[in-house]
Amino acid sequence: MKWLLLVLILIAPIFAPYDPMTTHLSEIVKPPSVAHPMGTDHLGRDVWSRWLYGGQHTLIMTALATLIGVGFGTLGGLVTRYEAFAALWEGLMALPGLLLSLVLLTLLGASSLTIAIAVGIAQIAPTAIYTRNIIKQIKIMAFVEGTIAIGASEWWVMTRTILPNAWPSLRVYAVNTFGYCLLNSAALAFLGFTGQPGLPDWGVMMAEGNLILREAIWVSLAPGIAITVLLWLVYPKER
Amino acid sequence: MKRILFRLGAIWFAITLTFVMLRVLPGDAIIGPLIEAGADQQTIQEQQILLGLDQPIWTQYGAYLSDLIRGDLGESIVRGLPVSEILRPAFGSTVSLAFSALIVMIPMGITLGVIAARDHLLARLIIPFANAAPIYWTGTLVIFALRNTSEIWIPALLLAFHTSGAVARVTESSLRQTFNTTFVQTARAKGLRERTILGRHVLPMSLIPVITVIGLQAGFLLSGTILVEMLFLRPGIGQVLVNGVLRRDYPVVQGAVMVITVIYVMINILVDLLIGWVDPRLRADV
Repeated sequence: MKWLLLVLILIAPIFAPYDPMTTHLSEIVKPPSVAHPMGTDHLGRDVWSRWLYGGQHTLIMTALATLIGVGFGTLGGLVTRYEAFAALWEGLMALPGLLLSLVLLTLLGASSLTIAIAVGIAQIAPTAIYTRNIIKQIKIMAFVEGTIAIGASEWWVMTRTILPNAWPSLRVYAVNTFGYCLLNSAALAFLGFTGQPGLPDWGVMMAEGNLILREAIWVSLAPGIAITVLLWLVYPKER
Repeated sequence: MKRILFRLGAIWFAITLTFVMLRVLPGDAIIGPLIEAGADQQTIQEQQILLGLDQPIWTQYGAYLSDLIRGDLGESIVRGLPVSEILRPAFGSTVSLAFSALIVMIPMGITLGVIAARDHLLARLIIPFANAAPIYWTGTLVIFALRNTSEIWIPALLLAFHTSGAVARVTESSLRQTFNTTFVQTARAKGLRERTILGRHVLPMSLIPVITVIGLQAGFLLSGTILVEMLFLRPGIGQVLVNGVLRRDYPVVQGAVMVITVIYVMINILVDLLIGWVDPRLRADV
């Protein structure tokens, strides 16, 4: 169900009736109608088309960030038996996630790709700490001891015995991280770090909608609802 | 005492980390924008000497730290003003926003959690919304609904609402656990009213994980503060930081990050003290 929705967002642009970037100065700030189901924005662009393209853009950014964060984070968790790494991960937590991303963006410059990288890197330390805790729990179990006792190499124990058992927890954690990455990439796009004004992206659309709030609330309504629904789907539910 | 020293160590680490990222890593924050702007080799070298970037990195770090202790945060590359002068007026605004949000967040989260623990439909709807909706979107809606948003309580309430979601969730699960313990059974058997059981016995017992999560929420609170300041056009540290990053003005970024980290640590020290106050068993650790 969730996967279907994600695929749908990724291929959504094929349903877009207009080009998301083309401006029509005769169609500025039109409320929703048959020709423009979600109305048009301050440059006369079709909001429905921009929303479809924007979802794809936001999702690709988020997916890349999640891959970086969870991928390197898991790897980082695996090497934390070396104390120096453990200290590094704990130390990185001294900066709140969004702050770390902002520092990285100062270094990397503004673009969609750097947003994804900056958001992803900020998730490495929390993922590494989580992975380390999971591994600690599994390590003390009898079957791990057994594998060591029959002479398995350290690498084998880590990748073939511990990792498959850590996988279910890590998968839940990855879905959760996806949520944070979505929230933060859209936030940074909202703050103007895509480096490309007018790019169809949910965060950018919300920033644009903010400019013409009184005249055209529909511009920021659609991407906001979309992000809220997606986050509601991925966040862990009670009980 | 040990915890407080640890927290102060976190400030030092954050300062060093920012320094390392902005000056040592390849793609130096000062040279990068100059090359992008098409500056020639000579201008770049002049700038490097002017800013002391030709010195060995340890000398730079030492100079940075000793300047920092004297309250000198360097000069803004873009605006030419001392960074401390840019940050000083912004500091008060951010502190009052973050702390008023914090003060509202705690009772709001606990109340929502209590309502949720009683299986109230309202909490079922509000808590997931507070957790899932991005603050820069709900903020937009608030600005749309209310004409005048210059007063501080509006963004403070908004921040409190979104950060209270997690507090509510932890309160709920903690309450449910406590309700299953035997001493609650005893209280019920004594014939105490449900309200007394909740207020006198269950709630105090359930507060420790709640306070811990308040500390964890401090990061979200400050990230939210940055976004809210941009959205509500409040001249605070968040605005200084975002503009600094957009212009790649690294002394300003360094200064703003340091100030936000200090606020972050202040909140965490407060939470540590609060835990000790609620649960005397943990006092020695603080």
